[in-house]
Amino acid sequence: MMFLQDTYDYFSLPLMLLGIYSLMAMGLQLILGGAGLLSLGHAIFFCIGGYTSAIISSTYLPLITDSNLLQLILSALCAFLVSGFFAFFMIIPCLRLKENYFAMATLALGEVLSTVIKNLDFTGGIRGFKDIPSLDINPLIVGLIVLIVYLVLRRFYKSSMGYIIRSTRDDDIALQSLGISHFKSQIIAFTLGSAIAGMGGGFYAHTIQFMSPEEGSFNRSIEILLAVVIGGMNSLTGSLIGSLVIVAIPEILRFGPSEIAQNRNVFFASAVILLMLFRPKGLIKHGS
Amino acid sequence: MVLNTPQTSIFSLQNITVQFGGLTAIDNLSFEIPTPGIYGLIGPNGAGKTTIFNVMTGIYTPQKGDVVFLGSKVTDLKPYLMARMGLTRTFQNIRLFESLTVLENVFIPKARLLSTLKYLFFIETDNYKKTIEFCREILNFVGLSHYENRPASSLPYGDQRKLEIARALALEPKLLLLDEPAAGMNPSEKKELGQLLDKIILKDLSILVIEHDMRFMMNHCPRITVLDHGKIISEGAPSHIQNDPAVIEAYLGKSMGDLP
Ligand SMILES: Nc1ncnc2c1ncn2[C@@H]1O[C@H](COP(=O)(O)OP(=O)(O)O)[C@@H](O)[C@H]1O
Ligand SMILES: [Mg+2]
Repeated sequence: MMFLQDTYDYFSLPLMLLGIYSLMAMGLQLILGGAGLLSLGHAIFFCIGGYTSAIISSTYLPLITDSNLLQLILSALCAFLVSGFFAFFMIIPCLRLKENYFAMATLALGEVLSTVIKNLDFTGGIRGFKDIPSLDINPLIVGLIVLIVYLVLRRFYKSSMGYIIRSTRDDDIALQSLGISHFKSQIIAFTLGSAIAGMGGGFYAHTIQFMSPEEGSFNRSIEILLAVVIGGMNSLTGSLIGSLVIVAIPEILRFGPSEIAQNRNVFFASAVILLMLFRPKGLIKHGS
Repeated sequence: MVLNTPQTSIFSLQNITVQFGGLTAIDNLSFEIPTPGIYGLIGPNGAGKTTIFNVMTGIYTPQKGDVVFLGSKVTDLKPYLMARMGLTRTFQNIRLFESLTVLENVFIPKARLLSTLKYLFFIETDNYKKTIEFCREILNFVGLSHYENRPASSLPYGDQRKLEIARALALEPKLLLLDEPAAGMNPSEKKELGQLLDKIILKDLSILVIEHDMRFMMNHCPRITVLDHGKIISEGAPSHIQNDPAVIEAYLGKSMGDLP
């Protein structure tokens, strides 16, 4: 029993991180693979979601209910809504720009918002937000949410808006000639995708019990981008597999000989480069 | 006109000028589609034909002049709103949704009218089924049923052009603009395309087609407008424009039989 408990304790953190990364990656898959928008500021919405959960779970939520599970659900819901709200208002001016310029705008957006968080009082400023309640978060709940989001997104892709979003990626001029505004579908994809990342951020806050402005950094945005591209950016399932790759491989390399373990990043990067050489479209080509 | 009611024309361009930097692509041009039918638009490369389509569909806003569609002024209307009024087009360089299947491509123009939320909650999914049936009928109409589930990008060239037409028809437009639909087609594909146009015109819509193949235009367009350097140089029945010295000169003395 002791051994089982230890194993569970050891794996529960990586498992929850895997779930959280999967949420973020699925959100970005909708934005990048779905609507064809390259967002380099994805992690900032994760960060906003995290702070939202941190703040409400240490202030208002305990006043509403005693149940940890209910608090956790409410917290995730708020993280989803607040990050979606921010995403909605941020994307509109960014969409005036196209392609690479749009990507640069989202990068700048991430940096600006993370600086704002650093300089606010109620976020804990540069020291970060400490002692966030864990609300008994566990891999099972996170896994369940990942499954639900996955299934809902799959169905969403088969709905009318899902098809419109995918056609936006292919050709927005043709889309307009058929009576459909590509703006609307891009806004919906970006808002929804960012809100899902925000929900992941909420879970992250309860898992790590600490949020810092660094959580929304460009580095993390790129990490998630990597997960989506490795998995195959046109496939929702691919982004789950991509998340597994970027969470598991560094973890596994940790157990290798010390030369490998100490230079995990080098080996990980080489593995990614090789993968992209041999499967430039990602592990899963078609789908979603 | 037997009755004395004022008839609004389907479409008109009034004194349109379009400039790109110093280049005047369309020069104070007026053009009308008065009654339903197939109309042709020809002219040498660079004459401004595609630019006219871009003005008509709202992609370009002209520097001068007015665009009138079904009696309303639509000069500043966004392209997707023009399409909703019943004006759509195909493109000189085919623009399909390449990662979608053939059927899904035809589904897109109708997707806007279906509820996403209801679908997510499994409510009224019948509407989806009905729309899919409608799309299948259109594919059947243009003869692409057998490709239904193939990715659009995998179709032979001629069939991609047909699919673009099918997709446009799914919008149930009042006016359909075709930009060089027969380009790159072999003679038998061209013949099929011509038959398709003759079938389409039986539906309640008008067609304006840009095409270089003169035999194709003679067979299908009772009325042709000739454009050169952004101006109309001739207009009328094929037999008339074929013998118009201005037209012959515009094509650099080439005989009309072997246009590019
Ligand atoms: N977006 C644009 N920017 C600059 N010049 C353009 C643009 N579109 C068309 N032109 C120019 O306008 C002229 C007419 O082009 P176009 O309408 O494509 O001709 P056509 O379709 O008759 O071959 C050409 O000289 C072309 O180079
Ligand atoms: Mg052209």
